[in-house]
This record gives sequence, structure tokens and C-alpha cells, in this order.
Amino acid sequence: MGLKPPQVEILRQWIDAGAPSARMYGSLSKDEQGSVTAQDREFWAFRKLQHPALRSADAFLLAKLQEKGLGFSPAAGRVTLARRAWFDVLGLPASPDQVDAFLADRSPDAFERLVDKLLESPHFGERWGRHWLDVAGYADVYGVDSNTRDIRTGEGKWRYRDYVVRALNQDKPYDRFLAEQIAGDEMVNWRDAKKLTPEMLEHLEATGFLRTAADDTNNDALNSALIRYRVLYLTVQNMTSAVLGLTVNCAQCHTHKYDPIPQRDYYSLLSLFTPSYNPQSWLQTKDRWLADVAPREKAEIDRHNLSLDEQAKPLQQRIAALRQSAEEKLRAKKAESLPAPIREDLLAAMKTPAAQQTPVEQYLVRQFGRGVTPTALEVEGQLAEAGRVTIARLESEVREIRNQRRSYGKLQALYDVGPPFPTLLHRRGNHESPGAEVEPGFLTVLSEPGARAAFDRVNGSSGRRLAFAKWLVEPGTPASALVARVMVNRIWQHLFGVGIVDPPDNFGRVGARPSHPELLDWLAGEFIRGGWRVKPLIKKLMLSDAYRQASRRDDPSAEEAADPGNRLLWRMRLRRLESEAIRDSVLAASGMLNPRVGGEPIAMDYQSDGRVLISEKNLKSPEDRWRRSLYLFTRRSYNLNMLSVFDSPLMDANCPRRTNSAVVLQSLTMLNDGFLIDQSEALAARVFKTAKPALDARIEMAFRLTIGREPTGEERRDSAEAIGRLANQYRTTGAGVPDAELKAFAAFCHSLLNTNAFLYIG
Amino acid sequence: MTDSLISRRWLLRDSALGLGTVALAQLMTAGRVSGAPRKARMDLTPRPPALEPRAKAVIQLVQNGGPSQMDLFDPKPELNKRHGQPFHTKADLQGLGSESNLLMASPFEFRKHGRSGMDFSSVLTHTPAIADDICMIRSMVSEHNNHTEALIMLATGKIFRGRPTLGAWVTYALGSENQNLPGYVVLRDPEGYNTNATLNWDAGWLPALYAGTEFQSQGEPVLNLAPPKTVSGEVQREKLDLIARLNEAHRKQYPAESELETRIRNYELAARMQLSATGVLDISSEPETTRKLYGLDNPLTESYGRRCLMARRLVEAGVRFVQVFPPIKPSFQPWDSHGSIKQEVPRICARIEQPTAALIHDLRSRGLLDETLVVWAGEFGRQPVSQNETGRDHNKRAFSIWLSGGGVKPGYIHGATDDFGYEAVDKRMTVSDLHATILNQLGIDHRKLTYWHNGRDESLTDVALTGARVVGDILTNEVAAA
Repeated sequence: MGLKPPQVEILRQWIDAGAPSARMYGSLSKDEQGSVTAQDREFWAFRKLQHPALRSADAFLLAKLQEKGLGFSPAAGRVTLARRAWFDVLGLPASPDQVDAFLADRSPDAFERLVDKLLESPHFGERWGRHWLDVAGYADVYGVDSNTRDIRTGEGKWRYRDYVVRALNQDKPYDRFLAEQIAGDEMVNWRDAKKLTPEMLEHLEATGFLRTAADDTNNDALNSALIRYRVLYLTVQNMTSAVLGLTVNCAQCHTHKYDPIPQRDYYSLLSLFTPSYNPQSWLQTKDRWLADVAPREKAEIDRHNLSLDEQAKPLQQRIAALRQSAEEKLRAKKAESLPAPIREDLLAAMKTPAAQQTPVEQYLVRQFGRGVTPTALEVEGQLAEAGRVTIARLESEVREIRNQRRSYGKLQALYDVGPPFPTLLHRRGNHESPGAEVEPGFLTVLSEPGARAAFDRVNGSSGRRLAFAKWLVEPGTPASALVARVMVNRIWQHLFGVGIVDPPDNFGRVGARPSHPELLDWLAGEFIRGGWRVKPLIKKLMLSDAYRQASRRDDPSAEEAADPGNRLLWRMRLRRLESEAIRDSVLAASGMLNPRVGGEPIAMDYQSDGRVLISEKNLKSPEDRWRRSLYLFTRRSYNLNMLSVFDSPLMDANCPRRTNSAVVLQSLTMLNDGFLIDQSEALAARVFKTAKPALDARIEMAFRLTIGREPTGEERRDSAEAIGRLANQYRTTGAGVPDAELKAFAAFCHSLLNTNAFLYIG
Repeated sequence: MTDSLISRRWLLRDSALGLGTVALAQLMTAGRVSGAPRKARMDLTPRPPALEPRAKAVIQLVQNGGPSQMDLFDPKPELNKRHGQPFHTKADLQGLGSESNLLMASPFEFRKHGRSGMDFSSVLTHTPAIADDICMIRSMVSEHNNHTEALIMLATGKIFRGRPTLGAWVTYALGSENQNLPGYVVLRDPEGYNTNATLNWDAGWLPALYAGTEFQSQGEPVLNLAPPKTVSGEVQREKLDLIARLNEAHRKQYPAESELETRIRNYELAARMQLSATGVLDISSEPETTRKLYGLDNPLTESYGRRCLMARRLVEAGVRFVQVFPPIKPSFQPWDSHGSIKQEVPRICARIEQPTAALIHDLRSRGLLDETLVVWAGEFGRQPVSQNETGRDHNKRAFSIWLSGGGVKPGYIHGATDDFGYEAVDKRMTVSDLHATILNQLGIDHRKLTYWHNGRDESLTDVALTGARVVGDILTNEVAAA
């Protein structure tokens, strides 16, 4: 007696889950249970927000500086400040006109108005969206991405990227932003909707946040319990790192050695996601996408298309029959040259489908088939006029039917795929050793002692993630305190180069203590009181004296001695541009930048010599190659060489902080890559077109376009001399005078793009 | 004016002090954690290993695909005798095509070779000549039956992506002896990547500076090493001079920012590297006999032969770690013989075997073998049961690798598999054991080579979890880091 398929399926799921038996469930061991003491709750990061007495970022910073007898540096020059502001808010340089307009505004609140204007730009969301995509671990592929040529595109993943850009541009409150990303699908009733409203679509797109973990289960050989659980582990890891600044993954195998995170808590968190990433009724990535229309609408469209296909089918069959009869006639004619016995057998064999042919028939077809098969052109010629007319009419009817097909786009969302199943703790982190059942829940150390999480089904979903999202941001709790601290620290890091807590991804015991704990708590409090809005916080920080001070001092010896690493911010930090900002500002300088916001990623071309370039043949329009770097197809590895050499993240998990290497390959890229050379020529042509024809005016324009300021007297002289020598060299190699001048100037522009002044924000 | 004062001054300073004397430690702030004020080394200055090294350099010949132990190095008379009979164990398999679970004899005869009497199958025609130079390990085990994971394991010691590779750890530990070349160089088929591509030499969470640098074995050795042909040497020099002038003025404003100085030096290093890398990789000066030895006169062996020869030249020039990858044709995992052992194994041997043996001969005749550890290893082995009737599926439970030079016992066979080659049963050796042993030969105690990451001291061998140990049995020297 065999098992029926549903029984086999139940067995398979049971085996996939590690074949748990009641005996294995057992109860939690002491270590698995863990314990969280009152003292644990007093750790600075796990406390509720403190309310310090001081009332501005400057006040907190100055208090620490003054302890060491230090103070802020003088204010930065307005040109420097403008460049700093443009890059920090938009990731792009200001044009000379924009700088002039700022300089011309002599009112005391000129900088404030500049910041306001910048924060309203649609490019703000691109710049700050990239920061968030780093912590989310975003890539346009879904798998682990280990083969250069094997590109596994997550169709419509980019809609999450655009969601992030939009949310930042709209200054969506951070508590709302998090809730949509963690539980957007549970916040709207999309399952039963007749039509998806833009709001529903937005909420579904937002959950792309939880679809960033590498998922290779599309490969049937890898669609195993282990790989399914790895998707879950990685999702929990990315989410907690991004939102809570904690590394909880140690607790996958044992109660955390340093932080008060019991192993039980880890599996409680995991079980928030098991209804959607359900190891027992798993959806492979190819089946996990959603249509950008309501499920009902999708079903209707599918039905509609199917019925059109049915209508078209008889017409297509008639077309095929007409062609076939013409082909058979031709074949018979061609076969006349063959001996009669073979001829008959061959023609019979060719009418038989390949799979049903006898070995003899196969042999005949192989030997003589090609010789008697007419080309498509010959078939068309053989058709009688009437036949051709009929075919043309039928084909146009098919086209008309086809034109009525309706379509929908795809997006990648997270949503519950089945009823929750009991989540079992994995002993020693091994899913094949299931332990006791664990209730869904939150981190004990961030909850009121004795509190139990409650979950209500909502909008056809378990409601677990929605409850979690609410728990994260409920005012006055240790959880929302940590969430706010982590976020304001990120904002601080992006404006001042280094977080108040650095590294920014470990607020636990082994992580670093904040350099200014009171400042951090004050900022977090202000952030929450201000309705969790990011833009006002950025503005507040940019208007501080700390932000507006110079990055250099004439004689910093006393400061260097008292605070060698500038941890206390007695000057602004000198910061290198990130990879995307480098490429984007090259394009901005040359005038080639295509500022279009949003849309499908630009396809890349992966060459055998290791070069990764923009795929020219897949460009929808030629200007697309000059889109901002944010829009280039993003992989976990294998990104545009120019970006990867400047430390664009390897997105195995997420990237809370970019590294900042200074390796020789960067110099080689800036110096020899064809992109830089081409852009330098475009830049030179732009200068020749827009600046006054005198060499000095051109030099000045090139400086302003690249490093954002006018050249000094010495720089003017050095540049002019170099350009003179370069022009001579071009002339001696046969270039005409005007051409030599332009080429020499392009070489000069290329040198400017290679300077540290271009690469760093002062 | 091609050799301005500035650039000459820069060159002098560079050659006198070397790149690493700049306080590169401030370049990146990775791994800085309160309570653990350990600062990671952030430069490539040569640093002596903590222990007396037995080898100065490693050449890792990566054999992607899973070379079949019972058809190359590990004769199994019992398996051959029971050809076509059901295997007593249900083999632990990766893919389909082996459902019948029937044993398959090797299509090749085995013979003993050399004074040591090492066994090789008849498909190997050049390796027998180096029998007395190599140490065969028949008892390797891995942890995954899929290429991606098993290769990551061979590279990093674990099956999950994101960790630093062996070469990156070695470079982190030892720096680079040649300041005009990277310390860790990768040579792959110019036509493309094998499985896992650049992950095989990734630095993971170690600073990117320690990742392998790809040198192309044809054409330009490093991406963007030289300017496009349209840019003359004079123009390039003029650009470099102007960059140096403009940067110098900028640097003076920021005396505490050593990173600026590093970048200034990098521009000169870039120019020097163009010369050094081009010189090292220019094999036109090699005598005809050497070229023939490596099979450069044969289209089948030319490509892999070129990489093996370059590996020797790089090691001679002071590169510490060279990784050589196999051909990507006929398959990008060339040892992956699922269809026919009899046809597929000879096909890959014809491309790689002669150059491999040539490398050992050449290193020996130059007196380099003693201080160079050559590692020939794939990610796993193959099954005793047939797949698709004449092929074999992956097998993580047993595989054979060999080492040569660098203080390993020549002509020695270590460990054994069961009667069918299915499972390593005697002196099992894990990938982490192999890593520990390689580090030991370089004078590095694998337990002490650590990097602070994510709240813990990480290491290549993660000894607390893996129990990795240096395998003294295969060494002629003492285990310094027992």
C-alpha cells in the first residue's frame, strides 16, 4: 500500500522540519531559557531615554571639549560649507551658479534657507535612501550570487528601492517607515481588495525590506530545510542590525555570551517571521512575487488572457496547417530525387513526432531529413496567393486578440503564506535538533519585566510583525529608546563621518560606548518628540556650530595632543566621498549626469576579464548610462568596477558602515579607466563652451566644477604651465592647434578629478 | 620636464621607506571596539611570522569540480571487484542519476610509481614523475556536497560566504615582501571565472587591502594598470606631476590625515606597479626549454601552463600567496565528472597535468621548492556509485589532495578511505586541519592569528568549534604551533 501524495507531502514537511517528535520538544534548558536581570536592563543602551539638562548639540559637545580646554574651530568658509551641505544632503556637488546664488545671499539665515532648499530636492531621497539601503542589505538579486554570469534578478525588487527614496523625500515619520517595512502587508487589506490602491501597493512594496536576505531555494537541490532556515536567520540578523543596532545571531546557537539575549528570545523573534518565511510551506523565490494588482484582479487578468489564448489557438492551428501542407508538398517534390523505397519511408518518418520514431526512422531523418526540408522562404513561395492572403488575415486576427491581453507588474513583498506553525528552538543552532516550542515574542531586555507579547490576526495575516512594529516604536519604552538612539546615531554618522556610537551596528556590551551618551539620548528624545521626522533632525544638526566649523586649523598641535583622533569634534572631519558620490560627481562635473529619479535598474555587462560595465546594448535610452549610481543593477558582489574599488559594500548581509580603504587600485582606476578619460573630455568641452575663452577663466571654471572652489594663485600658475606643456606634447604628436588645446585641457581636467581635493569633503 | 623634481623626490622617499611606513592604521577604523582596543594592521609592510617559518610562499592550485579520488590517487580493488553490485550504504548524494546505488569500478588501471611506490591511475602520465616530491592525503573530508558551499569551505574554512579566505589571512599576517606588487595574487583562466568567482580570494570582513588581486595571464596584468594607448607616457607623467603638486598643497592643510599621504604615494606606486607587474608577468624571457616544460607549445596546456609559470615567477618576485585556477572549458568546474569518468577525467588531465608537474620540477631545480608550499586540492571527492551509468556524483566524505615542498614529507601517503573510497576512515583530515597546517609551515600559529569582528576574536580555523590541529604526520619539521 503506497502513500497518497498529500500524505507524502505531510511526511516530507515533517522531515524538512527535522522530523521532530513529541519526545524532542522537551522543555527549555537553563541556558536556552537564559535570564535577564535588573542590572542588564540598566545597561545604557537598554534603558529608557534619559533627559539631560542641556538643550543643543553644541552645548553637549562644548561641555566635553571644555573639559580638555578645547573649543570648536572657526566657522568654515561659505564655499566650503556649501560643498559640504550639497554632498551631505544630496550626494552631488553644487553647480557654480548655485554656489554663487548662495554667496550672493548675505542674509543671516542664508545657510538655513539653503538647507531647507536642499532637503526639498528629489535627490535627497536618493542620497539618504542609499544610506538606508545599506543597512537593509538591498541588492537587485535574490540568491547568494556566487557566479558572475548567473544573474538571478529578483523581478521588481527595485520597487522597494524606489519606495525608500520616496519615503525619505516625503519625510515619512521613521516609526511609520519602520512599520510599513516590517508589516506593511498586515496594515492594509490587500488580499480582499477589488483593486490595489496606491496606498496598498506602497505598503506591499515597503516589505521588500524583509526580502533582502539571500535566498537560494529556487534551486531545487538547495530547497532544503537548512537553506530555508538560513533565509530566516539572515532576515532576523539584518532586521535587528538595521533597527536595533544589535547582533543577535550569536543567540541562534546559545544564550548570548555578552548581551542579555537568551536563546529563547532569538527564536521568539524568529517566529515573528515563520508565518511568512514558513519552512513548512515554503515558497520558492520564483513563486513569492506579487502582482501589482489585487489578487482578484490578477486572477481575472490571468483568466482573461487565458481565454484570449484559447480564442487565438484555432486560428494559429489553421495557419500552421496551411504552412504544413505547403511544406509537405515541397518536401515530396524535393524527395523525388531519392530512390522510391527510401522516399516513402522518409516522408512517413518525417510526419511522425520525433519521440515516436523507430530507430530506422530516426536514421532516415538524420541522413536525409535536412536535404528535403524546405526553408521558410521556400514555404512562403509555395503558398498559393489565396493561402498567403488567408494567412495574413488570420495573423492579423491573432494580433488583434493578442492586443487585448492585459498585464501587470511584479513586486517582491513579504506576507504570510500559511497558518503559523509551532516554532521550535534549534538546539545549538541546528534545525535538525529541535528543542522546546517557543512562543513568538520580543526581546526580554527591552520589555517590561513579566510582559507577554499579544498577537491578533489582522487583514488575513498572523499580525505578528505588526505587533512587533508597534512594540518597537511605542513611546516611553526601552525598545523605542533603542530604536531612536540607533537611528539618530546613523544620521549623526552620515553628517559627521563617525557615529556617537561607533561602530554603529553594536549597541551591546561588546560594542563601543557612546562618545557623548547624553547628547545621544537628547537627540533621540528630540527625534521622538518631533514625530520621528528625519529632515528636521538633519536640519538641526546642519545648523549647529559643530557642523559649520572648519575641518582644518592653522596650528592644531594643542588639540591634537588633547584629543588625537578628533573624537570630541574640535574640528569638522575630513571625509572621503563614497563610491556612488565619486561617480555621480564626475558625471555632474562633466555635465553628463542624467538626474531622472527612480525606475528599473540599469543592466550591467559582466566581462570575462573581470570588468563590470554598463551594458550598452540593454540601455532603454542612451542617456540612461549617465544615471546616478543608485540605479545601476546592484549585486551582492560584482558591481561596476569603479564602485567596488571604492568600497561599495559586499552585500552578503547588510552594511551598517562603509569601509574607507585607500588602495592603489583606486588610483589606477581614477588614472586609467576609460570612463574617467571620457568624462574629462566632456568636462573640457563643457568648460570651453561655458567659460570665457581666456585660459585663466577656463582653469577657474574647471576648478569650480570639480573641487567646488576657485583656484589659488599658485594653483592657477601650476595649472597653466602644465596645460602649456601638455598642449606642446599634443602638438608635437601631430594634433592641430585647437585640438591640442582641448586635449591638453582635458588632461588637466583629468588631473583635477584625481586630486584629493575632489575626493574629500573638507 | 618628464622627470620633475617633485616626482623624483616622491620616488626616492617611496623607495627608501616603502608604502607601509605611513601610519596606514588610521586608514580604516574597522574592528575598533572599546574594551578591546586592538587595532588591526592596515598595511602591507613585510612582517616576520611569530614562529620559524618552513615555507615563504604558498601556491594553491585550486581544482574546482571535485577530482575523483578512486580514479586518480586512491586505488580501490574491492570497489572494482564489486562493479555493478548494490552499495551496502545508501550513498549521501547531491543530485539525481544515482538512484540505483550501484558500485562502479574505475575505468583506469593503477600502478605504483617512484621510489616511494605511490599509486596513480593510468590517466595520469606526468604526475608519476613527481611521485617522490609530493605528499598524498587520501583522508580529506568536507562539510557540504554542493560546489558553492564546499569551495567556500576550502577557501575560508566554513561553508558560509562572507569570511576571509586563507590567502587574505596569510597576507594579513605577513604583509607583502615586494612593495611593488600585491602580497596575494590570483591567476585564473582569462576566459572567465570558476565557481564562486572572486569569492575564492575575498577578504570577507578583513580590510579589503588583504584580498587577492587578480592578475590577468594574458594582456594587461591588472585592470587599469596602464592608461589607454591614446595617452602617451609624457602626458601621463605630466598628469601625475600636476596631481602631485595639487595634492601636496591640499595635504599641508591636513597634517594629521595620513590617508591623504597614502593616496599621494599610491599614485607613484601605481606607476611603479605598471613596470613591476608587467616585468614579472612577461614570460618572453623564459628559455624555450622552460616554455616547453610547461606545455606552452601545446594549445591544450598553453593557458594553464602560462599560469603555473607565472605563479613561479611571482613567488620568485616575493609574492607570498598565489592562487592558480583551472580552465573554465570544457566546464567551469572542470573536475565535475557527472556524465562519464572515462571521458571527462582524461579531458581535464590533458589540460592541467603537464603544467602542474612542470611547476614542481621547475621549483625544485631552482631550489625554490623547499620554501614554497604547493597545494593541489579540489572542494570534495566523488562517489563510489555510478551516476548516469558512467559518471560519479559529489562526495564530501572523502577526497584526495596533495601537497609538495614547504616542509611536507615527500613521497608519503597520509590517511585512508574505506574499501570503496566512500568515506575517510583513517587519519581523517578536515579543511581546517589543512589550513592550520599551511599556516604552521608559514610560521603562523593558527590559534593566534585573530581579528576582532562582531564582538569576538575571529580566526581562520575557529579552533573552539572545529578542533583544527596542525597535522604533524605529514611534516618533516616540528609542529611549532601544536
